[in-house]
Amino acid sequence: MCGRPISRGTSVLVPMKTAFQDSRSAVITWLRRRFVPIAVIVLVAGAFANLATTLFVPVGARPAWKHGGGDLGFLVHRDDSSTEDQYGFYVDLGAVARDGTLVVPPGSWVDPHTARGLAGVAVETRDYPPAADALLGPVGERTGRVLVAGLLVPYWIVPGPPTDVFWLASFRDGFAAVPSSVAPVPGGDD
Amino acid sequence: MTEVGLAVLVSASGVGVLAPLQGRLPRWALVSLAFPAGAGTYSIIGLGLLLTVGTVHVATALALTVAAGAAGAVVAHLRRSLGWESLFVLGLVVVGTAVVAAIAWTQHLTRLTPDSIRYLLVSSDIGLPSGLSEIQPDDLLKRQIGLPMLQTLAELGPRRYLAFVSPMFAASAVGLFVWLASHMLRDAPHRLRWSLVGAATLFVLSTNRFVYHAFYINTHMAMALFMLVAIAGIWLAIEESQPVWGILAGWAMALTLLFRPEGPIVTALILVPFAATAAPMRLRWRVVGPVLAVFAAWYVGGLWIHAPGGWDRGPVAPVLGNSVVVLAVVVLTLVGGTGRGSRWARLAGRALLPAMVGLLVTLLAIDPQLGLESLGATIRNLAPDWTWQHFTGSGGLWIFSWPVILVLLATALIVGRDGAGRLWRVPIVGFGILFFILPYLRGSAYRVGFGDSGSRIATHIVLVVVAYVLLVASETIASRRETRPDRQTAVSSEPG
Repeated sequence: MCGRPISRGTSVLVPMKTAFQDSRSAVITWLRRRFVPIAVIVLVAGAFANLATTLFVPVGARPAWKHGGGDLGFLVHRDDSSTEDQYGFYVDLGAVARDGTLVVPPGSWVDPHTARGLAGVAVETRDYPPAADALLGPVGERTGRVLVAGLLVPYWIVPGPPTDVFWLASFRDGFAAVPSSVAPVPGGDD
Repeated sequence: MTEVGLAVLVSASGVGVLAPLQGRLPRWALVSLAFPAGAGTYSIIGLGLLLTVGTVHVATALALTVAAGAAGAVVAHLRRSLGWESLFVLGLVVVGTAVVAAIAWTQHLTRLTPDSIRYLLVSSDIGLPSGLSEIQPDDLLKRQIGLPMLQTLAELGPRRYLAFVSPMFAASAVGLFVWLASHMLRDAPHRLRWSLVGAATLFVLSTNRFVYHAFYINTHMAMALFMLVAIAGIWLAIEESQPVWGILAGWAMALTLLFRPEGPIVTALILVPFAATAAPMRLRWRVVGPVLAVFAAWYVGGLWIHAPGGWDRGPVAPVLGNSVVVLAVVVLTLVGGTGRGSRWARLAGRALLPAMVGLLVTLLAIDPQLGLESLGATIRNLAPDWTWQHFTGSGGLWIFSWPVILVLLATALIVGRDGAGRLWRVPIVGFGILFFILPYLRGSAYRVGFGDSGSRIATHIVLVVVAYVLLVASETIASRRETRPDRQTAVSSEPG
């Protein structure tokens, strides 16, 4: 089997090792001869299995699918809920308040860095009572939800005449970005 | 300016930058590498502006990139290497880029996650005065500067991000892969050659996550391309005696330093086996020169100064650790070219993988929970999940790709011969070990899900592994050809 006679005085381990080496090299030789057809078959079978299975993957997890818009706002609100929950507020704010100012109370969850980068607004901290339920009339459905301290809370971007200054209010069970043209910052300069 | 126009300008600049190499690089490789060359030039020029002026004026950076392309064309003209061929290459690149960019722009295929947003935020920061100081420290270390720098071009476009960056890197990667595969198999019979090239390309294009990353705003597709250029470039420079590829490999590795926090370690995995070869000193300088230049600019001029806490941070990119890795591997590569130093380089080449295994085992012994959690998550991410969970997106969505890759890789590692294959084998196996060391460096385990960083990093090595499988296939074909005439001779010489 190993192709070599066991000579007298030789340890039995030596031919065992040789046998192992021989069979190993036989396997390698066999694999080497058939490597190309094996590679072609495995690659093609894998490709077709991939393509067939991808059809069953839900649309949101498919590698590419067309959607209706192209701007960053649409992209944020499209299919990845964690992106939308973390950054949707800033994108929505940027659509109405770009180059303006967002006034926030001390200790606010609004990140000035993200607000500047995504919404193009400067964040200014002022001390004011943020409750706005008494100030705002019907504002319709919430604009979206935002992740605050691990909780998803609703937010409203309140519509109103154009202005450079918005302020952050606590509203219903969430938050609202209020244009100073609708209600001036409580106790503020505007 | 439209995104299509921006993409064409970047690619055309890349053609100019590569023009002095024309005649020494095959046409298809030139076409495939034009966009990465232009994008890399823009990134490096932008980095230069950021470090010297403090901010990136996008129009200036783009104008300088186009100027660099024009300068390359002038150099090529003076060397008399410009001709109709150059115009043909330029035409192909312009048309190809315009088609890819137009599809990316109009078809709205871009994918975005919170990570993508962080890249775009860094991109908006570096356009501010004192741009580097504006970037949040975590982002500076984790996101690096390469992709945000490219995305600054969006300032000249109508939207606040560029849709064409990942698709162009993907098109370049696939183009280069097809050329490389057909080059490796050039001695194989025609039908066999194109069957293998076609099967491999079909497999890559059928890989769900490869296509995903081709439209995803992140660094993974760029890294997949850079790793392929670096490893294939060094192999071509040494085994095929085409030293011009050494420059391209060097630039690809240099760009990994700008794109990923683990870039220095990946560079080390590629350079250590290269250091152990008998490559002449000139080739060694060609390879490490760009790495050293970009390291000096980004790490010394950028991160050392502007990454607060970068020195003592544990997670993904400890600046000091990465600097030591880059400098050590550059010194090793250069010392390996000297008489005495070659022994040390060979020793390091042999010791690299066992040392990495030793490190991984030690880390596992210290914190087995983190390692096992990462292993479990990786298995669930890379293996097809036969339950319905898979189809609802809980796994890595690699479907059948990694099982196929691992089967072929294991067979190729058994069948492949030592020697040239070592330049591929060490980075591939090293990457596999590094994959499980990274959770320890960042201090958290991989998780199940296609957004997991481990699942995404796995994209970097796919093209390299499939190319290595084809290299082994070409070796087996060549060895069978070598033995066949002997057999025929033996048969014909037998007495009738």
